[in-house]
Formats: sequence, C-alpha cells, structure tokens
Amino acid sequence: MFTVILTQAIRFGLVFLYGSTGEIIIEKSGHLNLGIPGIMCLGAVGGCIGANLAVGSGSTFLIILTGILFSMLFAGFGGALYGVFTISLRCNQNVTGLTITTFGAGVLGFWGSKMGRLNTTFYEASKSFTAPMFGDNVGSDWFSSIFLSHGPLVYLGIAIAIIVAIILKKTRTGLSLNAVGENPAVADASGINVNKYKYLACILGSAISGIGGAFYILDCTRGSLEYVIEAMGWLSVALVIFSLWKPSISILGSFIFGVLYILPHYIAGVSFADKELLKIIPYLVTALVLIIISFFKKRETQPPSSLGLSYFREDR
Amino acid sequence: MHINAVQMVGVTKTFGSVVANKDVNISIRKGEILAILGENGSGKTSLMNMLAGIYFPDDGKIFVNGEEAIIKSPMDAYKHKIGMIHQHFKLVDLFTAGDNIILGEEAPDFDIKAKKTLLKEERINITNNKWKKFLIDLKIVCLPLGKLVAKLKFNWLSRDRVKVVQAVADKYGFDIDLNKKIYDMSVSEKQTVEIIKVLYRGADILILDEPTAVLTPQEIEKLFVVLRGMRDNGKSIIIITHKLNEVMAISDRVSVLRKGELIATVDTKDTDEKRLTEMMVGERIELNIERTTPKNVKKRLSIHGLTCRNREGLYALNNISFSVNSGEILGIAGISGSGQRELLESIAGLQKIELGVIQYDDPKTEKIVDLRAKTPNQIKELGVRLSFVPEDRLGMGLVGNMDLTDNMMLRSYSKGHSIFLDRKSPTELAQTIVKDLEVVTPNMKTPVRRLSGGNVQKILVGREIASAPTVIMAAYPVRGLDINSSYTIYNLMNKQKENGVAVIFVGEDLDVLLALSDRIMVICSGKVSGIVDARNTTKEKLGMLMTSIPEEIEVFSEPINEN
Repeated sequence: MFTVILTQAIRFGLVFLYGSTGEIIIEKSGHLNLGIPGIMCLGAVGGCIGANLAVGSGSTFLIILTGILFSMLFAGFGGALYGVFTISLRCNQNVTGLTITTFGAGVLGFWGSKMGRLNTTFYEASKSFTAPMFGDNVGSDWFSSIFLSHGPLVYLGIAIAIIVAIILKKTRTGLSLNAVGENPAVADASGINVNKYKYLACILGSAISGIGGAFYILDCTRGSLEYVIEAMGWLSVALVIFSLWKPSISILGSFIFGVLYILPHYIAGVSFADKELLKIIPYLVTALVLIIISFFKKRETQPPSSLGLSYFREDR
Repeated sequence: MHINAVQMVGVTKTFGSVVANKDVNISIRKGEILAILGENGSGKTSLMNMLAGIYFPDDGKIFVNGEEAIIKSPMDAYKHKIGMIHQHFKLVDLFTAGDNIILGEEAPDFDIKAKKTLLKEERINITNNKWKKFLIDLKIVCLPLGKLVAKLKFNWLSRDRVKVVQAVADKYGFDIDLNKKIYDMSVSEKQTVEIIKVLYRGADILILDEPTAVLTPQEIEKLFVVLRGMRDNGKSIIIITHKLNEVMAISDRVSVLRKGELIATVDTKDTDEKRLTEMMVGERIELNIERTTPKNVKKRLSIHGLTCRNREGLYALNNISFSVNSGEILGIAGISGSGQRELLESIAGLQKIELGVIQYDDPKTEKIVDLRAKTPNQIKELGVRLSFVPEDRLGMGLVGNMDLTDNMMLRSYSKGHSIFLDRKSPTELAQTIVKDLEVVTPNMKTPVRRLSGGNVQKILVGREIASAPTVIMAAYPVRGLDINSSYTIYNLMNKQKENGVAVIFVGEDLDVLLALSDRIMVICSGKVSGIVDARNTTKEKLGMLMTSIPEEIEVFSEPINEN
C-alpha cells in the first residue's frame, strides 16, 4: 500500500516536474506564462499523434521518440505563439497566457472528441511509455518498485530538471538568462541579445512542459483522453512558486505534490466530494510557502524582478 | 605633439527641433583627465553618449586613435575601447559584483580556418612519418569539436571566474569584495564595480557621467585617487561635471560647453573658477518678459530649518530657511538634483521631513497653519498647489492614458455627494484650458500622452491654476518647450502673481529666472547659498552661488506690505 502510493506519487509528480521545469525557464526570462496548462494540452495532442504514427513499427524506442518530438513541436508552437504576442507585440502576459490555456484546452477537447468518434485509442501506444525502463525483473523489494519500475519518461524528466538546474546555476547561458529576467536593460547594455533569450526560453520551456502533457496522457492515464490536463498545468505553475524558481527544489517539490495529489484516492472511506476537497491541498501548501518566504525577505527567493514586464529598449 | 585618443570633429546632434550639440570639436589625449563642464542642458551628456554608442551623431566625425570610428551601439564602443559609466548604474542587483562584471562577455575567438592552415603547414614539413601525418589529419577533422569544447568550457562558470576580474581590480588598486551581492553595496561600491567592469572589458577611454553626484566627500577623494592612478597607467578619462572645485582638483584640461556649443578648451592650470564660471554661464541675454513690481506683498509661507534625507541617507535638504510672499515670483536656481524636488515635495506634504517648520499664512482665515501636521490632501485644499514637471512629464500629475476631461476629474472626483461622477464641470474646464492656453489637440478624447510636451505642460499648469490656488509651485515648467509655449507659461505665472498668488518657480535657464522672478533663491547641494534680488544681480553671481556656498549668506527680502 505504502509502496504503491509512493510509486504513483513519483509518476504523477513527474507531470508537475515537466510543467514546472519548463515554466521556470520561461519565468527566468521575465515572462509569466499562464498558458502552461494549454501548452501541456497541446503537448498531449502532439504526443498522441506522434506516438500513434510510429505504433505500426512496433519499436518502443521509435514510438517514444516520435511521441516526445511531436509533443515538443506542438507545445513549442504554443510557446512561439505566446512569444510573438508578449515579446514582439508586447501584449499583456497574463491575458495572452490565459488565452493560450483556453486555446490549448479547446484543441485537446476538439481533437479528443474527434478521436473518440473515430474509435482511435492510444492504449497500444501507451504500452511503450508505461513499460518499465529497466525491465520487469529489477526485483520486487520496496526500493526497486518505488524508484526503478517507471517508464523512461520519468527518468528523462528528472534528467532534464537536473540539467536545467545546472545550466541556470553554473553556466554563462544561465547567468545571461537570469540577467534578462532580472533587468533586461542591463542585459542589453552588457551585449546580451535580450529578445533571442526570451524567444528561446519561451519555446524551449514550452516544449519541455509539453512533454509533461504527453506523459500524463500516455503514461499516467494509459492513453485515455478523458482526464483533464489543465488542473495538472495549474499545479505545475504553483510548483514553480513552491520551488522558489529552482528546478533542483522542483524535483523534491514534484514528489510532495505527487503525494498530495494521489493520497485522496488511497484513503479508504473518503467520499467523492471530499476527494475533490483534498485535492486543493497542494495549492494550500504553495500559499503557505509564499507566506513563509515572505517572512525572510531574502532577495534570492523572490521571483525574477522584471517578471511580467515587457521590455522595449527605447523606453530607457 | 600629443596623440589624441579620441577626437570629435564637427559633431552635431538634434532631437526634433532641439539642438543638443552643434558643431562640437573636442579631443582627449592619451593619459590625461579631461573635464567637460557645463550647466544642465548644455549638451555634455548627449555629446558623451555619442562616444558610448547610445546616440548616433547627425553630422560630424569621430576619430579613435587617429582612425575614423563609427559607433552605433555600446558594443561598438567597447570594440573601440571606449567605456562609459552612466549616472544610473547598469547592474543586476541580485548578482555578485564579479558576475555583473563578466555578464555578457563574449567568448574568445576560435578561428577554425587559421588553425587549419597552421596545422596544414605543419603537415607539409613532416615527410617521413606517416603516423604523425595521420595524427595531424585527425586534429584537423576534430577542429569543429574543439571549437564546441572551447565554447562549452567558456560557458561554464568556474569557481575561480572572479580571479581574472580580481587581477584587474588589483592592478588599479580597487579595494572591493567581488563576491558581494550588488544589493548589499553602497553607491560608491556600485560605482567601483561599474569602473572595474569597463576596465575588464578592456576600455582605454573611460567616460564618467557626474560620478561625484552620489558620493560623500571622502568617497570623492578616494575616487579621485583611483582616477589619477588610471591616468598614470595611460588611460584617458573624461569626466562630466558641473562642479568647479572638482574640475580644478582632478582635470588636466577642461572643455566648457554652453547651450550645445563648445565655448573653449583650456588647460586647468591656466584658469580659475571665476573664469570658468563666466565661460559656463555666458553673456546675459535680455528676454522680453514683462515683469511688474510686486503689489500687496504679504507673507504666505515661511520655512525654517527644513531638513530631510534622501534614500541613500544623505542630506537632500540641509537647514533650509526662506519665506514666500503673495504677489511675487520666487525663483529657485540650482544645479539639478540639489534638493529642488525634495523642497517642493516637502511643502506639498509628500516628503518625509526630519526637522524644520513650514508655516502657511491662510489669507482666508488670517491664521497661521502648520503644514507639517496636514495631509497632502488638506494642504491642497488650503490652496497650495504643486505643478511639478518631472523628467518624464507624465510621471506626476497627469495620467497618460486618460483624456483631458478625465485628467481634470483627478482633482474633482472626490467632491460632491452624488454617487455618480460629475463630468460636466471637468469637461467645461478642459474646454476652457484648451481655448485659453491654445492647447493643440485633435479632440477632447485624445489620451494626453499622445500630445506634445508643450501641450501636456499647458494642461498640467492650467489645471492647477484653475483651482484658484494661493501658492503655486512650478518645477521646470518650460523644460523641453519651444519659445512660444514657454512664453505662454511665463505669462500665466505673471498673471497669477498679479492675482496675488505666491509663485515658486524652479528653473534651469538663468536668463529666464533673472527676467521673470522678483527674488531668486539659490540652492547648492541641499543648502541655501543665497537669496538675491533678481533685479540687481548678475548671471555670474548666480553661477558662483550655484556651485559653492559663500561664507556669508545674503538674504534679500521683499518689503512686506502690512496693510
């Protein structure tokens, strides 16, 4: 029982981890992308299409590869759209983000119902995603079943989060990206191409979030399109705040969020309505974290200074 | 014959109809400190911004080390080894000093072609060893990989990344902790970081825009030691300033600008403060502003020992005492940033005051009111109106996205008892202002930010006047305006004076202050350096008072009519 909860927590937490890693990259460039839920929907659509394209080949590797590539492509498109509106046209970031969310959810709904009518299922494709990466015979002790029984995308997500954490902390690329989000005018004066960084952050971040959407459909729900991704998207955005804009903390945070998200399903004797109530716990925890960090008033735990602001050189 | 590090020949720059620089010829030699001296708006900063790549000259040429240079961006300036330290520091608060300095640094060149030819030559020399030949071939093939590795290695932030920076800092004797975060630093430390950044980027020509404005006297002394050290190291330093004592203390030569034109370049040792002041302020120009003798002069405001600090904890105002009378215009002269803004905001109740008394003689009740005990709104109700025109014009007073009527309503929306807003009288007021002050606007619904600066200022001043004030404070109301609009504003001020309003006019142009005011108070770094009779004073005297505080402070007061 305990092992099952923790195993499932890691699995569902990974959806949040993908979403929040992508969103952290975007927010570090000074853009608050509230379109993440929609972008994850787009990623899910792309992932399903991609995986089903290769399902005939029967190769697990090919199915996963096309699935990831297509989900990144679709989600990257959503990120590029967001970028054009907020970077080049300097639209309000919140309004644009919410629009993208509505758009993405609509695309998924429309496409999903069409697939339903055509009786297309993604169960076959999802088998490649849920198949344990290290094979079936890693052992049945608690450690193996919690940590080694997952599909490859779980490990990919953690790897991406670690790589992003290292890039942000230990490279000049990360330093420049931080500068762009903190003070674009300074970055500009130092010779950094601000718009290039913003676009790349928006597109790459969205692509990473998009894998989360595909992972949710093809792994967590085993190819069923009946569940709502948006809730997972909002939790990912909350996780960004929870982890103080650091992907390294995000790995741990995603696990905590996963536990909190999955726990209501495993508590016996909880009514359906109470389950929905228990699902708000992650948001409460995020609010609590916000309150706690506000006590410390440490500059390092604050969001990027120019988050949500458009940059226009001639404004100086 | 000296070698000129930089030479600007016939440089002209205009902004719209305003000429910032006209046919300026200036040069700086290797290993010297050149001071650029001039009043506010004399074009010092815009001239230097052309060297730093912020602006591009309309006309004229720039030569760096004798070769013509085209500087279109700050990066171009860096390539020509020119670095500028701006008044507002360009640093990321959250980063350490070291990270700020290396931010945006470009990777050293990795030239595949050059390395390839080098290896090929080596290969030709080897004739008998096949194995060695093969090794070199392999090296050639792997060159793109080498480039990638070099790039990745450069991209990595190693722990000893500050070492290189530290070496630069040590070379010039800077005492600074490069691992300290910028938000923990004092202003002078931040300035040091900026200077190291410019040096680290390899600048040989350093431009400092009013570097001493934010420093304490001790810090200024320290900065000067550093600047002299850099000069002795062969760097060329340009320092923009309007403080004469600093010019005398630090510079080798001084170029004086006035109204965008170069007046003269002289050796510092051959000149003195008096002669520099004369060059800086120039001949008095007679303006055709009608000035009436003050009538019915009564004391309206009296201020004693006003003291307040700015955000850095330095004194913005230091023991200021003066009085303002009805029916006269009190001009306030001073280098910008000497405390004018704080002074006006103190009277309007917007500034936290440390010490001092502000008394208001209410003409309606004939009682003395303590303004310090009042809220800004109550002060406004008493008839003390602030029409502050800040650098960005729309920052205070008007809302750029709202139209004329709505901006008028900002003053009246809280009045009346109906739950609905009264739009009628503000509309009428807006129409009156447009008609009387000849505001050029497409229609009444145009957002004010779309109007030209002059029209915005007319609206701002017009609205404050319309409320029948008893004291009106106008700061830089003619900044950036053309002659005709300026005269409209002057006439408005004169009319208010005749109506018995006490007018405080903060200005930049000394000619205007001399022609418009009845008395002129000069402030210098937060202190009163004199209150003079505008009818019997000279521009030189004002210039001297603006830059230094005399031992004995003259206070001229208008004869007060006691009937």
